[in-house]
Amino acid sequence: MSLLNKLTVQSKISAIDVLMQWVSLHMFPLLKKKEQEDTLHLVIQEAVVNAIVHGNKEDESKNVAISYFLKDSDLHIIIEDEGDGIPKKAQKKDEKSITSKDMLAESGRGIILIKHFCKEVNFKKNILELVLEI
Amino acid sequence: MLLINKIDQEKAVVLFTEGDRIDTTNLKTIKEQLNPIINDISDANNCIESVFDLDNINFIDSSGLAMIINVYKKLLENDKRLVLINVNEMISNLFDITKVNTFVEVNKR
Repeated sequence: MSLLNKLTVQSKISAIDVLMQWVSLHMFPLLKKKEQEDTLHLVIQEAVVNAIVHGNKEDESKNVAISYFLKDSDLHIIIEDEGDGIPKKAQKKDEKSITSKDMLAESGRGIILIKHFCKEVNFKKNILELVLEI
Repeated sequence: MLLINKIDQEKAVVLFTEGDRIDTTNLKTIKEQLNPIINDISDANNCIESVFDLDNINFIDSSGLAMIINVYKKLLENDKRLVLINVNEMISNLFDITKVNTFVEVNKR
């Protein structure tokens, strides 16, 4: 296992494009199928937006860091913010437990989508680890 | 992001003509252009259906899904339907996973 690379960005929406360009440059080449690019793009963007908006409350003095490593045939992506972590109630959301109220809710779909497309999702306080099989 | 609004009898078609995404990075701009259009459609007596043509859209995130939900709710208040057409496979899958397709008609490309 080796830590390959890390990027730190300010907590603002305009940083997302830069971050996703970095992702396409560094992580897309690791994928075995081109179809996985959309999925990778989505789960990382969901996690990063969550970190910027909910974790760091769009406070530009706070940062979001993204790093990744390969272990066997899995890509591990670590997203770290300076917040208090995703609330336990939100961590439990998944597509099997969607209620009628959830369907029309203002938010809450990000975690559901992340969990759908990732092999594993680990919540460790202000760090979110996504594991994708590639 | 430019949206063209065509009203044809009972149907209003909204086409996303610039950019290929509806997500956090451009949502504010889209909403600024879309809100007056949705208000007009909601107020139009002869219009019963709003059609979003997503032929140019290749990426949507959860904030984009939330925007579509809000449009659906706004239209519903005025007894209008929301229909999505030319939706790509990935985006259609997202509607399926989050069950948005339970109340919004989604037609694939």
